[in-house]
Amino acid sequence: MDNFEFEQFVLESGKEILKFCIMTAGNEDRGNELYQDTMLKLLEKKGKLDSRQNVKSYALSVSILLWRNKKKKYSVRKNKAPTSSLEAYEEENGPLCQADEAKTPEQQALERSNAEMVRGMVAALPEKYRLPLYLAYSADLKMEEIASCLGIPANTVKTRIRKAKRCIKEKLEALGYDR
Amino acid sequence: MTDERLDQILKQALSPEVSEADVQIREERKEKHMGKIARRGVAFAACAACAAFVALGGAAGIYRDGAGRPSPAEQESAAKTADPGGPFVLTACAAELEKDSYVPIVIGGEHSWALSGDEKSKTVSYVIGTDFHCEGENIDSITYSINNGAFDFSEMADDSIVVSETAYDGPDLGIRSGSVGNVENADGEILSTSRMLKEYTVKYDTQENSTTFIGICGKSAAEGMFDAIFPQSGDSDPETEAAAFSKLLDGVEITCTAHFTNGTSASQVIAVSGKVLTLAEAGLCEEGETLADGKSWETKQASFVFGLK
Repeated sequence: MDNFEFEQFVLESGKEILKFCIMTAGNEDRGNELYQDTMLKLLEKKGKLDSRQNVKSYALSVSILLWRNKKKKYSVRKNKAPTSSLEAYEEENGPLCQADEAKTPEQQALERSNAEMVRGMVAALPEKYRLPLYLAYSADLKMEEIASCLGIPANTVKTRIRKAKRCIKEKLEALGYDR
Repeated sequence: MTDERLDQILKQALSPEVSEADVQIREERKEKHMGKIARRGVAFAACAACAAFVALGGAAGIYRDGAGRPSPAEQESAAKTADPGGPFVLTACAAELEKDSYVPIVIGGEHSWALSGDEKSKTVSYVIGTDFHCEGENIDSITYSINNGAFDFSEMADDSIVVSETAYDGPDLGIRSGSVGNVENADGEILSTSRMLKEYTVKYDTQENSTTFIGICGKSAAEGMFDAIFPQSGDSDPETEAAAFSKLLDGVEITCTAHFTNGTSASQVIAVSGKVLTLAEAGLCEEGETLADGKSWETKQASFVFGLK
């Protein structure tokens, strides 16, 4: 990739990558920082990037790794959620949509705007369900691209997104939202 | 609610407004990054000088005999050669690891940890991010090995820092930073890789990389530990929880072996344990500060800490 191609890439895909970074990082400041770190990393590797390939997907993979390296996702997350499957989690803890916090996400969410409420619901999902949603709705990736980015089969992506959406839908409906 | 409506809601909520200006790459960040490296260079020089002092003075308090490590007499002899091997300094979370002291692993900082519990088997799994850095003179490469559990290792495929490794082939450890395996693009080209290792070696000059995540992970079902960490009601008592943290990591040792250019090597052993720290001691705030949630800097909590054995 030469300078012109890289600039074009930033113009074409920068916004979606930045949106993904903001959602993943949980706030604008950290998201901007993650985006800048991602782009600087890509800039270093510009010579090795091929504009004919899916650089956006690669950039998002870099973002995910950088984010994991920052380990924000570990912050005080001493939950009992197993990392294996949503089914196992629900079997042990009841439906994911009725999480067990003292103040439920619904109660907290009522105090916020609708968009923040939905963001809060998505943020409360386990990472394996949350990341595909961000890649789909924030980064605007297709199923195959999400699969490539996360290194999992496309069918698994579809299943995770379906389950995540079902959960969000149930929560919204429980709040009387567009029932 | 229809699927279309849900899609619309998600699209609105998960697609924040960003401006054209926000997507521009800010070059000053690059300069800041380089400044950070330069400061590390200064720290390196200071530590290297410190290491040299220890070698010549024979005050080997922070060092430990290990497999392959030359005897003190051999070290002294080596230090006098043109290309000496010698002791080295280990840092974690940018702080020097020393015997009889500790380095806290800050929650929510760049080096943090996560726990996962299984109520049925009373098993607790952990993943703790590591950020070890080895400093010394005439070091060619560094090998890290773990005696219990595994290293959780993720990196970009074209930016690997590992020169050799031994895979972990034990039982599932229950928690890790991401899925194990390769991430490929549509052409089958490997973009990034995550794997569990027992041991890995990096070159001294390229021992770090901003896209590489390294953590240690493992699990334990020691008696009483699960309930101390995941109490059925209320918050954990910090003392009890810290003791449970230590029990969780009991016996886990990470051996760092520096291989010197003259063919000798030296090792230090890092341990992880639990400790009760105030929020200020844990690096979460400054002394005298009150956090947004109303917690004072003096509030005590259980933390994980690194230390030298």
